[in-house]
Amino acid sequence: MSDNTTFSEITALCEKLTSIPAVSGSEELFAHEIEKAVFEYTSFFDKCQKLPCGGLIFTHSCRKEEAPVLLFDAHLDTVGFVVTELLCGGFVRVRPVGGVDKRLLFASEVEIHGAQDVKGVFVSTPPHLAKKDGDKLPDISDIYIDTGLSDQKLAELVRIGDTCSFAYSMRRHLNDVISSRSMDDRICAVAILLAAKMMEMANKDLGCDVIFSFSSAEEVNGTGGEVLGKLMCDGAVVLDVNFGRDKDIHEKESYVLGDGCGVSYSCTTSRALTDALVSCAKKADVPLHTLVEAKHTGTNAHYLSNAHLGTPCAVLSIPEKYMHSAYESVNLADVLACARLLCAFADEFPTIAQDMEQKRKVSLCGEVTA
Amino acid sequence: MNYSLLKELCDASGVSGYEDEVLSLISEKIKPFATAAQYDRCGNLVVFKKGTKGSLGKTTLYSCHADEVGFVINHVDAEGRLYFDAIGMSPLVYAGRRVLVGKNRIPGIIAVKPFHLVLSDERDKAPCADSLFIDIGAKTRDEAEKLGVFADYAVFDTEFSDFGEGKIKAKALDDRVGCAMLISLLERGVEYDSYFAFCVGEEIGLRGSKAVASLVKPDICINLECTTAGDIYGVSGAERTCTLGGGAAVPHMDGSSVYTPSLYKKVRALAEKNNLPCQTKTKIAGGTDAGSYSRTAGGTKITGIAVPTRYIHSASCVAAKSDVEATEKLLFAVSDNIKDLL
Repeated sequence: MSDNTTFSEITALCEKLTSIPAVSGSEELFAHEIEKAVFEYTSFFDKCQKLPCGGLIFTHSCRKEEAPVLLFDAHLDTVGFVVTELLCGGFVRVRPVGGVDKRLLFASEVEIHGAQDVKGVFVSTPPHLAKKDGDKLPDISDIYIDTGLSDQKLAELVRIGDTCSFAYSMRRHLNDVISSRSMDDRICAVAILLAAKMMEMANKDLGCDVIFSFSSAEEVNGTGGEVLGKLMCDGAVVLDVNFGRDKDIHEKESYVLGDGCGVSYSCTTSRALTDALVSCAKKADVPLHTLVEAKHTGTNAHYLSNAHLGTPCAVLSIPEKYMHSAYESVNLADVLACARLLCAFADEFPTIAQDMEQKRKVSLCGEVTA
Repeated sequence: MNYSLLKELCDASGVSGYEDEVLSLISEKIKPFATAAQYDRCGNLVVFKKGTKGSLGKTTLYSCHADEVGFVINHVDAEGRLYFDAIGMSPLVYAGRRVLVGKNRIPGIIAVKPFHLVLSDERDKAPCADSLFIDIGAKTRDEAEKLGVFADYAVFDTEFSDFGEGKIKAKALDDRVGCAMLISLLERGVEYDSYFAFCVGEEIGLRGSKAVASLVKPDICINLECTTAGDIYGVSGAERTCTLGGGAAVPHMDGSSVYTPSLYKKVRALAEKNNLPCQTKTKIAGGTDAGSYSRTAGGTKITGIAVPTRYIHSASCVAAKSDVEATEKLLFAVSDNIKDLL
């Protein structure tokens, strides 16, 4: 398969996944659609389990006893809004869910996920009417959404608690860049699914079970990552987007789009697993950059690594520009590189897991059982 | 208190996330006394010690943290300067200090420009954290990176020493003094089966202890700490928080937890009965691993015993030996009376 064919395939899968909304808290409502999209794309996974917190877990068994378990995590939820009040004249008051930049909202298009998707536009004061002292922007709850509906129709379709997303549209730009809402973190799910498909096509005889978690609530509180602690996986690669290099973004906290994906070293993740990922990339000749995010990686790894008895985590990221906007941008080459690395890592994981387990037990007396 | 052990512990490196060096030192020290010991899935060192009288049917956990505040190198620029994230500190305590980078202890300086060049509106403010870097003398990125400094840690370049009258000064007293006390309790022995935890990641959000709580599922947790003393010249009343020379600090509450009230009373009564100087904290500030134990895996009863320390989270933490000794004795008293505390 040429890179070009793969790029079209990535674009199509990405288009499918980003079209499905799931603002944090509403994941359960879209779980069925997500499950269907995943199984339509690949048969690599044997089963899908829907978690009480809204996330989905897809499992591939290697059918070997005592095989280590490798977890690939991407989060399903996205930033967005939640309806808090229906106002006279077809207007809707919302609150943000996750980090949203209010400067970008005026006169922008949204979809309210009510009884059916309802189109809306955030209100904006035309320059002719704007006050001179209008420097300070109102809170998001005071930038209403205009649905253009009558009060009666609005009440039929929209209820308090419904979620709302940026309007959906995807574009392919120059130099293999694509943009859409919700790339954070659907593009990482795309990379995982692409890797799954590659392993399926190659009929890989893996030495480990592979779990793909499409987790909930990362953008708000990490619940979906935290509950994975109970799975007691031998290692987890947590995939998320990270800052793409841009004007005013320093090289110490960003990667250049198209130059490959990156890993983050952190005080909160496993250095052994991160090192293993770096050396695996070297061996597989996959470009990989390194960053340090000392205190908080801003990913599910933060919540998973010390949940329950702890899980060794590494953070792998795809560079993205314009994070949390309606036009988050990524480069297709990075997605492909990421998928290749995941395949190589799954291949080597049994040895990596064994090494980590041995090092953990080295030179100490007896095993502590509680 | 075994001060040479405490010196070894304070001088060892163990920035949060990089606890390997200090934990391997601790594991050497506890080996002769432990019944079983292992690193858990999170990197905490968890130790089991059989009691002389066997099991109480309930699980006792003594806990301290092995990590310390410090620096993590996050960028090397073209001229070989090392930029960093500071863990648990303000620039006021690290600008202008010497540090040691990585396990090879490469000496470096967190430099600021000469005072002559500091603009008048900069003179009253803390230096901006983002502008500070470590100068190890490297001239190029390549030269620095060959030494493996990227994504490595740095600690203050300072040594444990006696200070003033009856005091000690060191980096990382928080919480190597807790580690030293747990090691000495292991050496002394316990009446009933007990677990001991030397936790990772306390300084970056009470992280390691969460996994220990799920592994051990204690019925009682005794947390050993170093706590902020604000008893400097000019500070009076409750703002002093606790004072050097006032004995062991037994907090009733801090930023992360309300300590189990019945245990608080019993521990204070134990101190009184044994004529051990003891105080509480008069300001609700800071947080400890006790906070995670109180709420993880069903939660547990918690109590804290701490050594009052001035200037914690800096290169020069100062504590009184009399308090260290009172705290250690109070820990022993708690251990000897654990049956009444449960």
